[in-house]
Amino acid sequence: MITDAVAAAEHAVNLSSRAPARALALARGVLRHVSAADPHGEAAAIAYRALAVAARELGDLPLAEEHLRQAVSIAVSAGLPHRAAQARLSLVHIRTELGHPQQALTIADAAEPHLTPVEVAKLGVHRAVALARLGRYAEAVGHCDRAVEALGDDVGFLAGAMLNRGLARVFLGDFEAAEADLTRCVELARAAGLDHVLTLAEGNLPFLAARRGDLPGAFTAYRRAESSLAGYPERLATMRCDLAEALIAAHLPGEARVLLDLAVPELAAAGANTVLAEARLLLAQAELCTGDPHLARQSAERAAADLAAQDRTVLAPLATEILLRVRLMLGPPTGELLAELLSCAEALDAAGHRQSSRALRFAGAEVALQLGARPTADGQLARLASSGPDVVARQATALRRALAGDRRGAFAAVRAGLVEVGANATAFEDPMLRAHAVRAGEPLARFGLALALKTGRGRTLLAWAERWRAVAGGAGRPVAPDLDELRTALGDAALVEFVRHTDELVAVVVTRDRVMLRRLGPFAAAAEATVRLRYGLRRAHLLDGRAPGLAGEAALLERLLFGSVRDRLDHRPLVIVPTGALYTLPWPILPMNSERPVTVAAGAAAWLAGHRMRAVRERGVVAVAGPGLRCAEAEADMVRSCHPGAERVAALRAEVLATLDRAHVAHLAAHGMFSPRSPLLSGIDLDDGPLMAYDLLRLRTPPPLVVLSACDTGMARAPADGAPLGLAGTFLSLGSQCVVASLVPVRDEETLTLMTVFHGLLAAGHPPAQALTMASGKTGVDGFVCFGYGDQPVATGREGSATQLDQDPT
Amino acid sequence: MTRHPPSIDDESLIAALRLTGGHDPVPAHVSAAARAVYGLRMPGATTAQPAATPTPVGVRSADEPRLLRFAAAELTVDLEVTSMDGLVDLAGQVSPPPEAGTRVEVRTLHLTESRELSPTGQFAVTGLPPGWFSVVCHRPEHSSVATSWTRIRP
Repeated sequence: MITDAVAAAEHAVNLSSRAPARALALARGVLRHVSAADPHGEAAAIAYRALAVAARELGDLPLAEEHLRQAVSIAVSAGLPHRAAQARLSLVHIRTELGHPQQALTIADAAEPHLTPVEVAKLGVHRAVALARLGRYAEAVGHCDRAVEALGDDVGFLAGAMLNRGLARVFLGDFEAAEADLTRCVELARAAGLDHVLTLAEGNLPFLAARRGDLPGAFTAYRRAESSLAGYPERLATMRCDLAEALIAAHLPGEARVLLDLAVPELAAAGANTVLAEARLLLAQAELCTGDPHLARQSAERAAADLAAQDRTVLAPLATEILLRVRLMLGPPTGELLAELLSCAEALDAAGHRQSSRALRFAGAEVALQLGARPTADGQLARLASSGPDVVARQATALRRALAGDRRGAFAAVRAGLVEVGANATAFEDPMLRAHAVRAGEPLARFGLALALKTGRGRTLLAWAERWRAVAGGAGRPVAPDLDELRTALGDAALVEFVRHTDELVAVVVTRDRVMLRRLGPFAAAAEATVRLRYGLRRAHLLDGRAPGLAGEAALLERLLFGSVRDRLDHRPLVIVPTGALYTLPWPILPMNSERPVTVAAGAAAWLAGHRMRAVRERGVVAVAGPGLRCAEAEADMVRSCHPGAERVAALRAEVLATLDRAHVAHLAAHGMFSPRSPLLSGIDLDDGPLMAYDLLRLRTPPPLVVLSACDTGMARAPADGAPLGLAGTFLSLGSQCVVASLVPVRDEETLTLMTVFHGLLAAGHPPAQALTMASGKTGVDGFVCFGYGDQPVATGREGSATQLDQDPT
Repeated sequence: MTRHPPSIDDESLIAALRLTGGHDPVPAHVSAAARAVYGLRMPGATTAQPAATPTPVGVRSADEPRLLRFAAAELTVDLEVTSMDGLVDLAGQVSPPPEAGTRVEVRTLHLTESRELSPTGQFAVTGLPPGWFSVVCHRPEHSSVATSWTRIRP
């Protein structure tokens, strides 16, 4: 009977992590039977351990601890040191998660002498978690290494060791090895039917992906993990918290905040105090970065208190840093604040947060300058400048030189920094990853722009805006286009490049004979007016109620964006280079543009590159009609009849992709979709599924002219200026010369009307930008924009194709 | 987007009964939250309730637009929600266009943004945190109209 009870209890322990509900029932059954029959308490001690592990799986950490304390006390009074040590082994993990990693290590030391070698290995797996929470990642890896050797064929713990080692390696930045560990963990768990370990391992994939900069991969893995962890709220919350940390590092504080708002209450409810403290710290960072200093202070104060109570000295200075930054945002700088900033920078350094320390020290130097404490500022800047090379070192060097009146030298330092940032970014082939990778260089680029703006010279500001756009767009080097070449290429046209400097919007206007700089006022006003105009336009196109008037909004926006420049532009064709939210503005709808050809480019250099492209004459015109639209077929037939020799291509992804590589003009009439979170998941509907921007990355020679006759195909999100991400942006970055696409939902029938006139004009030899303006004017259909370089007429080289207006681009 | 909070489950009901029976003290953060919510009331305001928005037809969009409509007796508030990088842009229209001098307030739990309406009744606020929000329309000559609280999940 006694042996049976012990065996049953052991069985419950084995079940507890795989099937917690069954383990609970079994362990409770054992406890009902043994109270009288088990004088030695052995089965009871084991059964309580089973209850504890099951409770932990179900997310109730305090209950798990209570059960383990019970198990220890029964084992101790029964004189069973081995059983007590086993319970303590499980307690190591629970105490860690409850917020006492340091104490957990002490419990581990007490348990170790009474455990078998295999159990010591298991203990190592739990120790690794505590060590990782204390920021001692290398030691955590060491414990897992030893555990892996000793564990033999205990698949469950082996998988756990792989999991913990993989996570610690992610923190150490050793991504290859981390991935190998996590993959091995998934394999082991899958083969052994350990669904739940499998789920945990998969739950760490978003974190790994985000940490190595693969954000689309992170979001995909996150959505999968979110559903598979649905029954484990505390695990799910921990996963969200890990991913949020990586998102903050990737300059996506808004996304991180969303995850943390979900995670914090769950962690609090589960009593998962260790992760909760980290989650509050991250939340404070996210709140600070999204402009909410008051909330950031609340969160940081709670995080600071938690971390102090948990002896987590490695993380504590990060909470202090946030509180100081909040004071910096809300109040005037004082000598006292400066002293605290600098001492916090020291503490960050001592705790191994070198990057945070350097950024804070730079902020300290700026405060010192505001307070007139020049020697302090000089000292801090000198220290930063001499201990690079990184973005902060370049920034410090640039600021020192600017302070010394050496503007040229300051610019040189900024340029050198941008060269490094640009070179790092070229490692990413995915434009989305690249656009996020360059954001580390943003403070430096901002400094360059501020310095350029101080000169008051349009050409200087244009050059610095273009250098940053080149880096963000993946050119690899911070190069600005040759101004003379640009002006010659513009001919009668004018280029207006918008530049955002902190909250101010500035425009540089380039024409053949001059370059002007105009300060336009607050950026937020223009951004909000853009949102209002887009809203009105969408409503007008959706016909879902009283459409608001557009004229007033359009006129207001024109005033905000062009102000005093408007008169200078006369009737010149326009090339517009937007910034931030202005990438989503349908420019042709502004009243001044009603008869003017308008082209929107990612940068002056990008437009110039389009201008330099020679017409490809041996390729033809293709048209595709996607499913589910009444007018798409008619539109594709219209395109074919407009351009002799044009072909219809079946709306199948593989065929369309193959055709795009050999077409001169591609016209795609279909349903369209823009994905703001992952702009490269934007696409158009074909018969066998969506053709997404990611699919296009495989193209080698995209068509010089692409017409995306669908909703929202021109929409973009620009994490950094110069890198508008979306369908149109992807075609252009791959080498298309011009893309005609819409920025709002467009109506099926009206689009056919517009496109019929547009293709008629193209076939008659009008270049795309001009053809689009004329077609919109004639049909009254708006919402489409010409992107890239819009002055190259279509010349397919086929017999009968119109070339009479063809001009040499040089 | 959920328009209503989820209905109460058994455990929460029992917890609520224990609280009202005086068995357990009310946790401090609950009273604080209650006071905060009380402070968000709009005395005298009419509530505009969620109403169905027509499904757009005849457009080339594979997307569901995130349009919300709230209707009160004499006016309708239409809203469009867009989120980028976890922050929310809210654009909307009050129709029929209300009298001159009408202001809208977009209220979130911690932050309120106020805007003048355009003559055609439009407004927009950018960069809001996701979560609960309500739009209040303050009219100089008439009572205010507030939309029922709605949650935005980006």
